[in-house]
Amino acid sequence: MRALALLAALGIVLIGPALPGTAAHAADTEPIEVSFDQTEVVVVIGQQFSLQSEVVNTGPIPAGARLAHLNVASLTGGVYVDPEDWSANRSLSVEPMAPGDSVPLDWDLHAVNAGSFDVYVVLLPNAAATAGTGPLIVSPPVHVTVTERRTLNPGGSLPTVIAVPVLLGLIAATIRYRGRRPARRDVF
Amino acid sequence: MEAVGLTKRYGGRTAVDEVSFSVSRGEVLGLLGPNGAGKTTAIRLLTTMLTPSSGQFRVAGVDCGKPNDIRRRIGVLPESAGYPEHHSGSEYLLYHARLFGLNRTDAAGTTERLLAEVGLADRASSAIATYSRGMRQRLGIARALVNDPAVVFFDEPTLGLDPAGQRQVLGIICDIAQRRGAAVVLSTHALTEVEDVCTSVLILRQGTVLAAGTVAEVIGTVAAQPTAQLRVPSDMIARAAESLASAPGLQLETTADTLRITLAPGGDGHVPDTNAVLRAVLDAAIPVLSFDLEGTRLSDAFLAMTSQEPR
Amino acid sequence: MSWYVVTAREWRDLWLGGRGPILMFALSILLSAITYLAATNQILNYLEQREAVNLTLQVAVAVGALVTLVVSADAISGERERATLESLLLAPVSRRAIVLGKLTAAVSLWLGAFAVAVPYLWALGRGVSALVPAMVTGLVVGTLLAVGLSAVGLLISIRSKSNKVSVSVSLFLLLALFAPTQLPTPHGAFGVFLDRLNPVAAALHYLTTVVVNGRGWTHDLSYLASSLAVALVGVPTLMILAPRIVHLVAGDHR
Repeated sequence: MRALALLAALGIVLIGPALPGTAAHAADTEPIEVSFDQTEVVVVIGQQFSLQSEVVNTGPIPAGARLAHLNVASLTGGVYVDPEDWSANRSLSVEPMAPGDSVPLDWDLHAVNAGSFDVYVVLLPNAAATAGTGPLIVSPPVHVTVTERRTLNPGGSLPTVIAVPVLLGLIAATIRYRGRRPARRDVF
Repeated sequence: MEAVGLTKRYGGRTAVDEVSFSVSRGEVLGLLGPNGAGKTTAIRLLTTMLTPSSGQFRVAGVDCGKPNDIRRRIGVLPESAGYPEHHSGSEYLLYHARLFGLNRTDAAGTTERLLAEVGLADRASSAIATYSRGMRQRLGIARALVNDPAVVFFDEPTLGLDPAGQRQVLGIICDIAQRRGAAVVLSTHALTEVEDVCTSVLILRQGTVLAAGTVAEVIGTVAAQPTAQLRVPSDMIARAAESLASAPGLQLETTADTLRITLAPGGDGHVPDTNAVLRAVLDAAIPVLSFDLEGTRLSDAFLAMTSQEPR
Repeated sequence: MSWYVVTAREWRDLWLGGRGPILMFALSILLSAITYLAATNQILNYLEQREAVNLTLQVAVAVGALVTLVVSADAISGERERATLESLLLAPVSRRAIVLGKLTAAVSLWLGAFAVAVPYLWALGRGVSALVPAMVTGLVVGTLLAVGLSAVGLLISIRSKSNKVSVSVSLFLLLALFAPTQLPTPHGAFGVFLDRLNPVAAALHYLTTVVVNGRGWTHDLSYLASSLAVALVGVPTLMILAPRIVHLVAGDHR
């Protein structure tokens, strides 16, 4: 009975790493963290802004190459997010890091929709041998609040947009009115 | 104006076939014919809107090979002419006067004079959209006169006009021939107009000339015997017939209240005198309710000619 | 002399008759809407300033070409239907003078459309160096298109049995020329060839090259070849054929 329990424990040790759900165990061997420099941002719709994040190897052993991928999730019902619209470059490579190293990552974003959003970064192993495996390391999200922009005069275009049709409408109306009246003088 | 052998063919169809005629200054030539006779085509040939397939014509000494020069010497009122609705009458005339090469001052003077001549002076500044059909026709006539033409063509000028409008337009046409001395070609369906206005007529059918000459000559070309319808009180029909029985050259036909009298020429070719017929009836103390002559009018000749089977 | 009288009349009918000003008024409403939307998109950073200028310019060129073509398509066949052509043809005026007057009047609509577009272009593009090149290029390209399409419209109008046919054929032609501009940028030699062959698509491509991409006006000049060819072939063809084909009845052999 004791021998059976030992065999089972050995099996778990040998087979365990190959089973799903055990990526966290591997992450323990490469303790990498990713985080943003802020937790909350408030911007106006259309505004372009930047977020900085940092990848740190907190463990005692070197960390392999990683791919940092930015994602945006809408917390406002009915607001659809196309992350491609928010950032043109959402994937950045992170070179292998020695213990204690850190790599800063800058993300340029464009507030395309109004509403409440969470922005986060995911680190994936970035090597041919680790393709399709984990672990995934996720940053704490930055909460982005995008407010509506209320302007009646975008880019100072309103005077032109109103004045030109009004002026041309008056000219057209005057010509039509004069055309209905008896002609006094002719040009031909 | 003189046309010789004027012909227009559209493929295998001949719209105008070897038409020849002439019209001098001060004359009004009536162009008659049923629908499709080729009247409008003939006018369009003579006004250079169409080119003849063969034949020639000259207008005021200008050969048909110089359409631009011909257009300078003619005036035309086309059938169902359209007008720019938003123009005033004076604007319209002024424009056409300028098209004929008049300078601004002369064009303005011509416009004013012509509008007065056709009775539109008081509506000169009104938009044509507000004109009646008669006013439009008169404006069209004024337009046809802006270049003081030697020949004026009118294609159905009284079509759709009320009797007063017809009389007004015909009066202007007479005036154009008599006072201006222009040669006038008048295409119309209204035969009474032709009798009243025209000095000569040309009857067309299917593009060919059926008759040409003065109104009297054209009537004379029709061999139909003149007849008279005599209406007398119905109880006197027999007596009336009796009173005319001995008169030479009369063929009598009675109905309930009418005596139809055919005036047949005698052996010497002489047609009985209608006055003598009437006198004989009156001498018999028979009251004459009406006496209508048939076969002596242009309309009779026209109907007689155009109702014959085409060649 | 007579051409001047006809031309002056045509211009006067178009502009003082009320049709031209109403078309310009309608165009200004359209451009106002587009400019407002473009300005909004511009401040939201959805649209670059150059793109906003280009969009408005392209709409002005497209609508200018449209109204020019439609007015040309109505020019002769419309007069026929209104029975006003005969009195014009009866005047000692050459057919060339008549079509020249109608051609210039129709093209004046494009010039009017461009003049209407100028304040909008200025509102969207002030401060950007592309504004002046955009205006100059737009004027040249639009004039080429308007002259060529107007000549084509007049030829269609002269040969059409009815005004409805003339306007329908002209609109179909314009749609057929505009349709490829809505397709993705062509790739491959044949696609590029077709794009260059279409005077409207090629002209709009040229505008984009100058206004958005900031290329010099000589860079893609070959894209103007088709619109230049239509203008250079269309107008002389119209002038040469006018005496023989402008008749009271369409297609009449006289």
